[in-house]
Amino acid sequence: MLTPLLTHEIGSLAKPGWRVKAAAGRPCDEADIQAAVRWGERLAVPDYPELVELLRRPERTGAPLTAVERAEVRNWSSRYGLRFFSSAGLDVIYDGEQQRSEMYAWAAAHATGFEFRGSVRSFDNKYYSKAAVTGPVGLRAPFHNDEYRLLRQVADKPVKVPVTGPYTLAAWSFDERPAAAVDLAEPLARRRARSREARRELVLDIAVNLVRPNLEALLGLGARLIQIDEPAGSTVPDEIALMAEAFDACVHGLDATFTTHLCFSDYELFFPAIGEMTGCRQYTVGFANDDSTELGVGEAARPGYQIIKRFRDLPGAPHLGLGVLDIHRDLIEPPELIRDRILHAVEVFGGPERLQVVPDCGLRTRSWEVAYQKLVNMVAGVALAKAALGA
Amino acid sequence: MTEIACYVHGSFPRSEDLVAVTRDADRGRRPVSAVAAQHDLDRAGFLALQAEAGLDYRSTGWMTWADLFRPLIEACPGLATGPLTRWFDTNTFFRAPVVAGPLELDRAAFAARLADDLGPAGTGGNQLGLLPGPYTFSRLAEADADRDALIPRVARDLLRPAAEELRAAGATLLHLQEPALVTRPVGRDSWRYLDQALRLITDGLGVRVVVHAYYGDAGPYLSRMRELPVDAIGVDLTETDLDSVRGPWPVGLLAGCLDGRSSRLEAATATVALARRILDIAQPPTLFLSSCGDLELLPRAVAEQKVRVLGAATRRLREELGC
Repeated sequence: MLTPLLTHEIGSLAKPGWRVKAAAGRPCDEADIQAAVRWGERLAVPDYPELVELLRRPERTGAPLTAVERAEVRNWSSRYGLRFFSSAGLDVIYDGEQQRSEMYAWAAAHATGFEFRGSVRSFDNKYYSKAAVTGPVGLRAPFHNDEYRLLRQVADKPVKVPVTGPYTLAAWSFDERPAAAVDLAEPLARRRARSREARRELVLDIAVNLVRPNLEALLGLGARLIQIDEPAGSTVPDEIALMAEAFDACVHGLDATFTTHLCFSDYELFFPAIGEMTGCRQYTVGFANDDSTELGVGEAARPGYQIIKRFRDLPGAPHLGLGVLDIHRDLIEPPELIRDRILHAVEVFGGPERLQVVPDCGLRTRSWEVAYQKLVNMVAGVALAKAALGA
Repeated sequence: MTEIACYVHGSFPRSEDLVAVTRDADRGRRPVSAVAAQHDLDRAGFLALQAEAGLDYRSTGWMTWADLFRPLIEACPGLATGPLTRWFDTNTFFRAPVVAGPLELDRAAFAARLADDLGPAGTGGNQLGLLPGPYTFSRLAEADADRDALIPRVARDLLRPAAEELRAAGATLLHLQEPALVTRPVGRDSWRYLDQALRLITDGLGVRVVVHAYYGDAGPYLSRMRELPVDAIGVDLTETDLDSVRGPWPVGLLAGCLDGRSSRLEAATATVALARRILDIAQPPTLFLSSCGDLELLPRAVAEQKVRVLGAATRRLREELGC
């Protein structure tokens, strides 16, 4: 599964307008339906006219989509997402998390002990729904099983299941448990010690009682490649060892290949603590966000990739999923730029054996048109790199 | 007797309606004008809340600002938006300013932006202005120049003109956010440059200036911070030991006593008790009560409750002190 220069997706993809409206019980307009037709043809989605027929049904009959029909639209969205990555040429695919509301909210909504409090800003005008942990955490019901069953049936390539990690679930939540209560009149050292202990208890509670049982359910269905996403991993630099401990608590003794995804951080902060993540076989990491768009393979030409030698030197020789697409810009990186980013990494690693190629992060903030062109060029860049390497 | 005042600094959270309208507009489902209309409602609601709570300085909430730096970047051709970067140890990100040319503020563009934020009705009371502090700007910006040398340069060419525009727009108190001051190493020279930079901003400005260092323990730096040429120094009491604010305080003290990163609601009685203890040990000429960092990291409904607590605590404190 960890073949050199294998291409993966990372996670989320924007949801099509027809999927969003159907899920909300709103009628689709002609532009939504034409988008379903256009992308259905372009991605060669099998039987996509059935979706078009389904989307037109409310207008024809005057009755809104039923709950069963809305679920079927979501399944179509997953089929489209899967074909999106497959037809762009990626080697390992998933559905762009089309079934999920959002990586955090989906997990929190299927857990016990979480209560949603409202929207908070992530960046610019992007917001997410944030919950508070109010009591012991548990798994209400496995929350990736249905999507995995569907995708396994229809995927024409190996799949990788993205799962939100325990540290991120904790870091993106408020903690309203009594153990986390703070008295500002208390001496700082004592406050900090109690906060550290409360945080550790929360993160490991989520790892053991929410994420791990959900992973076990996936493994029971046959999943063998799972990416545990920790975009919040470096939020508190002192807690990176805790993130590593929680990762291993999730996967210890389970029979699958587990990877992690880290992004938009000062990656220096992760070292040396992530060396303790003995259960992690691959780090997929975003770098293009900080890189130049000039061509060149040398160190000076690739400022965003200075850190990769630290990943090279990790104990256990894990693989690196090299982020080569800036997911926050509409720039369509030319294949030659992607080639140079890969060749630079190959030089640093002394060969391609431990390298795979990914976008910096999920592409949900880009339009499908932009995301697709970026991915097509990523695959083309990998081909150029392989040609340059004589592979 | 110590002057007691309170205000909410930094960006205030958008309402769920504004978040939804913005999302719809981004996806072409609603016109951009719907965002502006909802923003007007959000601002009006926040101003009414501040008035009702009895806050002494009122802000627009800066709900149209993408981050603390963006209005300056957009009004300065010599600045560009850089990579998405984590805002200290939070899960909010900002675009680092990239110094790509002369730091010359397009004052008309900045003034127009302020007018948009303020709206036709103004804040209806003492108006708060907000800018990044020069030290934080110098540490978070991408620049080839020496970072210490950048501190006074930013102050002279960017922040002072911006402060003058804020004053012209009606601001009577300028809040400079300086989280880097207690979260990044500060060298001996940096203090000298910061002192110089703050003089460039404050000399003859004619509005009160508060430098607020948050998200870190201010204790080790307080003796130096108290010498800065400003009207008050802000500390984050969620990260700072109460005992370390012990006096004397030649300048005012802003006590960041509402946790902008926690949804747990503070009790007004506990906040009053905390303020009384600060008055006992610090005896500053002015005590501002406020939040530790921006409240925008909270959902709007939670932040609104915290504003009410702030107003109630200040009112009760004044009653207890007879002022």
